[in-house]
Amino acid sequence: MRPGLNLSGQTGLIDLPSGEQLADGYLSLTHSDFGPIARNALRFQITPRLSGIFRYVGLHDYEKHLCQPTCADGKDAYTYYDRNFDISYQIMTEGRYWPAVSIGVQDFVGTGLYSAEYMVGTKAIGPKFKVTGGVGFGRLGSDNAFGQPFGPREKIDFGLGGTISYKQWFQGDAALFGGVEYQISPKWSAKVEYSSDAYADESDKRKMFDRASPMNYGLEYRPNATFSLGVYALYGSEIGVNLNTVLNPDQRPQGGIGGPAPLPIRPRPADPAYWARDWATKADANDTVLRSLAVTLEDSGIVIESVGLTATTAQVRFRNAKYDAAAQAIGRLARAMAFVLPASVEHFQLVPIDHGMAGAMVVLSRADLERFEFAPDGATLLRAKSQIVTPADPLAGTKTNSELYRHFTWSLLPYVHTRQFDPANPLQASLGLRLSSQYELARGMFLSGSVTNILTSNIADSGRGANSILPHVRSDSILYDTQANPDIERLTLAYFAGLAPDVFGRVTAGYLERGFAGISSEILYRPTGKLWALGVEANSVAQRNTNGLLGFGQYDYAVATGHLSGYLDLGASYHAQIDLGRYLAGDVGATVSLTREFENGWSVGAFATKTDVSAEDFGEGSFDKGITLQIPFTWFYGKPTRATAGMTIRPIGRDGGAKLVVDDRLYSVLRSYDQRKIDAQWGRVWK
Amino acid sequence: MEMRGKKTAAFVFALFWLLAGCGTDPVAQESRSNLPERQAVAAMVSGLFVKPKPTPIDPAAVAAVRLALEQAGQPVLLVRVPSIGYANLFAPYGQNGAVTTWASASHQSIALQGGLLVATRGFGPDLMSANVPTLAQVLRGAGTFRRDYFDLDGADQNRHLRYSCTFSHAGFERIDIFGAHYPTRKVAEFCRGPDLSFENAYWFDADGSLRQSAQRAVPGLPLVQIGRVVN
Repeated sequence: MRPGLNLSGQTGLIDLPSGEQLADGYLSLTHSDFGPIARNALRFQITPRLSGIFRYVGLHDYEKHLCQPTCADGKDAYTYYDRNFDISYQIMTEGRYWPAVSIGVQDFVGTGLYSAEYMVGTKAIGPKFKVTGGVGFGRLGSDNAFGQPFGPREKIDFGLGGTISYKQWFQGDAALFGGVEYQISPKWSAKVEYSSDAYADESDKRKMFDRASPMNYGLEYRPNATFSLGVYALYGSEIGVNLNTVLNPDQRPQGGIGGPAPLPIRPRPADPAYWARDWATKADANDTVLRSLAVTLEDSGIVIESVGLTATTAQVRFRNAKYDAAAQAIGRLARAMAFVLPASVEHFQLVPIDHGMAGAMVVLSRADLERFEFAPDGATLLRAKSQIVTPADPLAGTKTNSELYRHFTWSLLPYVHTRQFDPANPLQASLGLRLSSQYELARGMFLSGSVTNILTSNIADSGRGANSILPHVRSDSILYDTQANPDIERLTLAYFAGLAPDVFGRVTAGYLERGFAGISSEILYRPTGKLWALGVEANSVAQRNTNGLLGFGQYDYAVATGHLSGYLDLGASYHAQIDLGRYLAGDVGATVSLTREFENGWSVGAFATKTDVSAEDFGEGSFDKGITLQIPFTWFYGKPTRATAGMTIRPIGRDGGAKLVVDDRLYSVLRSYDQRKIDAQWGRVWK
Repeated sequence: MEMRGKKTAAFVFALFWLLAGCGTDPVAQESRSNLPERQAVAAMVSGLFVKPKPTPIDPAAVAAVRLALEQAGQPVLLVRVPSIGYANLFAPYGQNGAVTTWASASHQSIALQGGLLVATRGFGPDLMSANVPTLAQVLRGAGTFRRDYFDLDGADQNRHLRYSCTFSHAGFERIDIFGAHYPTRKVAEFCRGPDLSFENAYWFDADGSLRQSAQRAVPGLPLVQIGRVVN
């Protein structure tokens, strides 16, 4: 029996948690409504036993009863919004006689309106029946408590929020809860639950609903592995609904990637006449090969940057506009090389170029390509004979594709800009068009810009103004959101170059982001084949006006900001980044980011920044933190594309710990050509 | 109704196109190339209103195509994957040692080693490589063989599946391939593995050459039917 998700987005019965966890890496979205309470939750199974939830709760009619009889300022229609973080850890997996047991802390950061801790076990009995029982503290110990096994619970002094309320964990009243689930048919199941949450605040104090009974009853429908819908009779007085979407980022739903079949390998004939080497001495040999490769690779998404040849070695530098897996681009190019090059060329050097920089060099032997094209497990055999190394210098007489530079590209695309968690209206968005263009002046040198124009928007300035006592480097975002139209988001001149083997540099000058303009420079040391990289970035910027045009002066604020960054591949698909330095408001501190990266391009991460700004000066939330998601379009299309959608969810965005936004930071540009990344999808070399 | 269907189709297409944007940026262009064709979108939308009728096969048209193919003189295979409703004609595309790659005009390819399927490409769920028996072994219609299959999962990770297979004679059958009839001798191959069992089948001409086969590739291509239309 699959684990279900409760109204809070946690594995559980109806309103309370269970001892189960979802499968490793699963991501779920929950929307539930019952009476005056709406919850939206994002849950991620971080490891097979550990999971985390971010939840946004809306409590309608929060003041309706308390403000009587003189409800001024729309208090009778006021909705209180609360953000929760939960963590759950499975201390015991289900055995033949033992239940699965999880320990969890709920809403453990900030105001702790929903704060609770629990230990709960779930055991399947036969294929259709499941029993859950647990003990809860905090909210989950608030009804029919049997005592205080670990002493009294102090009231949470949350101050400005954002702090972890660990002193209260497992303190105070404890109560038992539990329930059963019965699978009626493969798609339908029924649940009964006894709840230990008294809803004292919502029911007794605020009269938002009447908690008449501790019993909940429900019916759930699961048409497939992705969706489930539940309908419940709750607490003797309310009807509730729960809609869940469960995704497995690790597996593209279509399975193997689609797209047209590749060119077969053309083996070289045995006849010695084909193996002459005198062609290499011809003046136009490089040019001829470059043009033949370009024709062979037409519409393949691979663009040849340069070709260098000797009688036995070919070095081809190329750009990959299409393949999310570098290995597939490498395989396609290798096939084209085997098709085009004279028989005497045995050593293939393939060098992917991104933003003018050589990210790696893959060295293949042509004989291995011929030998392993159809060998069982040919990808593994080919990899064992290939090397991924620091790029060698171009060969003497290398011919560069002259069509690449002085090249203008543009695009006009719709975009959506969201403004989340504004208490006046928690989801505001604008929809518009973004015109982007880029002119490549020379290798690694780009003049680029983008302008947006809003078509429709419900983003409204409530006029409350930002109360931050720090420079308003981010907290005036509502002014930019409402006043900049059209908005010249970016207008920059950037230069990227390899400075020495494994050392890369970037300088970007101009209007870097909607809030700031100036100059940004960066150096990255990224040793090939190692699991780490080190970078340093220095920026000098001034704050832009809020009208989206090119002027300054509204703020009279300039700052020097920069970071020392360390990047580390932790293995098992986890990745860490630490940034130390000075942030936009002039505050000094560090950001720690931990990300789980799936081989197919999905990533789910969390970050937190602590600087020398005190929690008081920072304001609500105490420090900057958030969740990041990166979703590859291949997951939906099932065909190769490098396009991805990125998202950062910040419960509260304020001025402390704010980082400058610069496009194309070096590590992210070169990341797809790390040896680990190439190897993670190496199987696609033969796709 | 017809008119409204067309209008809706045009609207949906315009919406797709708007979402894909326009321009010369390479990534945007590549994304756009992944969108369904206008006709496909129209068919999808009109399909909501009117159920498409299966087109009856006209034997005269099949005969005309076969004649043209025979006159062209190139070897041709008819490849069908019934589970995904796929059927197309394939022509030789490459030769590497004992393996011939055949390709369709719609950019799928299959690789056959003595008639036995060792790889597919362009289908999405593809057989990446395989360890297969020789045709002589199959023709004997007796004995066993251990097959290895390699494919990629939805995270691009290599999967290895192993099956142990037994051959047996399955009598004589008269088969039809693209409008022509052939008397054949059938050999069945029964395979058992950790996850499932399946059966491949081979139909041989009187001279012992393979006329038709039905072979498993991967879970997404559970049975690939390959028939020789023109030798």
